[in-house]
Amino acid sequence: MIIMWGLVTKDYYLLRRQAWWVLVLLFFSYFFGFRGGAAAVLTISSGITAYLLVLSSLSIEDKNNSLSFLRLLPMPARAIVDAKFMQLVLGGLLGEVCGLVIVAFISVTGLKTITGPEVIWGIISSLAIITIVYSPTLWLFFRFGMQAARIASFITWFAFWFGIVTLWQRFTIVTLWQKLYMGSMGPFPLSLVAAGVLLALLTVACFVFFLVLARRAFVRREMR
Amino acid sequence: MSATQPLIRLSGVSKGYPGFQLQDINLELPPGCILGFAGPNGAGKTTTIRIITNLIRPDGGRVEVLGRTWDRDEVAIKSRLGYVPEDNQLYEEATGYWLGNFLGRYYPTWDDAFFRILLEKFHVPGNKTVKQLSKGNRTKLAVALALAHRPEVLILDEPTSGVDPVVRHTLVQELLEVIQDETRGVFFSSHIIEDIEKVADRVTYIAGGRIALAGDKETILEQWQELTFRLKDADLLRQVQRLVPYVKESGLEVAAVTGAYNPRLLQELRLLAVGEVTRRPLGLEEIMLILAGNERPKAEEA
Repeated sequence: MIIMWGLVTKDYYLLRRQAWWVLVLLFFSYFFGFRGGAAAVLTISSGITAYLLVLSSLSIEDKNNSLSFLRLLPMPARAIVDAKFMQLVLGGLLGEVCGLVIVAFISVTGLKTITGPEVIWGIISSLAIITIVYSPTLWLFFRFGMQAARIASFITWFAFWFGIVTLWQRFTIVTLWQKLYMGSMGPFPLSLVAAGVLLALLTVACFVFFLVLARRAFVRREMR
Repeated sequence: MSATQPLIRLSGVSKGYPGFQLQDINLELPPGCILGFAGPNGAGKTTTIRIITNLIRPDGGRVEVLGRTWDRDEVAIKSRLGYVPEDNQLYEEATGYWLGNFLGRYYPTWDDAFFRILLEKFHVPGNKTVKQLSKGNRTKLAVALALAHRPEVLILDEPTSGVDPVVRHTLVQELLEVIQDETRGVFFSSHIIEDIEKVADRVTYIAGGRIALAGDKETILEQWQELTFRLKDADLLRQVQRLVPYVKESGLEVAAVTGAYNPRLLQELRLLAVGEVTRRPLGLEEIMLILAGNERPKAEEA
């Protein structure tokens, strides 16, 4: 754990000059909040933060050709993989905290009515989204390198954030979602809890699956 | 690990890539020794080093570092190994001091005071980011980082390439200081033969993925000699070629190079020569040029 934490803090140190970008993008997510509500703010803020932290740290490793350098440090090779996956979770959580600050601001200023279930569901779904979207990207990085990870993240970014979200809104199921968000089915209806648990399990399964794949790939990978 | 056991031992190591084959590499680095690993570009030096450091796996053969194998003792080996790669792999965004602090968390034997002494000695400003440092200072920083945990085996892949003579001199002097401790060893890869000649106790020369020459430097320098003389008769050239592998001739004047000089050979050549046979010891660079095929004997070309 200490080894991984050292690697994670290393990434934060190296990314210190890119931090202002995250703040700018979070500021923009505040404007989405007017239209989409708390779930949109949380999804966008955690998505942006995780994307920038994880992809930027992978870019830094690639640019400096530093995976070989890390591989020669006295630690198991799998710790390098674990640290990047840990960073994904931390990036998502950091984004959630920023998102909650924005949501609180929207709520306090009375710009939009925010409900409890909307916030809870927003946190769960946004963490699930970033994990399901970025875990395969991390695996691709450790298996094939930065180019593959970059292409994959580019595709998933556009496919998910624009394509699927746009299509989703056309389905009538969105009405059910809105009901869940607004709490008109009660604060914690059984269907919401069941969906949340199912999504959390799916997220954990996806995370663990790609973590194991990435570990195997990186330990076997030759650093030419 | 016993005191006499090699720090690095490669036995029959091979590795194949499309268009390149590293074949039957056998070498040993004993304690208290600097091994100069030379060869032209693309000969297999970096591939061999990456096999030693477990960054790539061999197709065949056995690799032992500090008497251990990578599959069993990965972390233990890495904590006692120092490595300076050919290309800079340090984070450009990090300062020297930060890198020292970062590495210090992982090496149990890290000596931060020693690291700062090395930076001072090398005149490397530790508060500047790697990006702000010159190529020479980046190399010196990489060497300081590799030395600060006092590794038992130090592996340097072309550390002096592309740096000015003053930096080269500093690095070479530092290597000589490291090796004063008889339990440590340095594996020093370079295509700058002058540096290898200055510091190495043993020399291994690799060409085309195979070891073409290996041994104690002094012995190599004693055995590789150029012998010049005038032949009694042009027909005797074939006899010379049978005795000596590398022969250049111009009329009756012959310059022969042997890698196995001994007084008996000198006597045999005297029988074929008119007058004195002049003997000249070759430098490592000349030997390696001959091995690389850049100095083909005229007789062979004909």
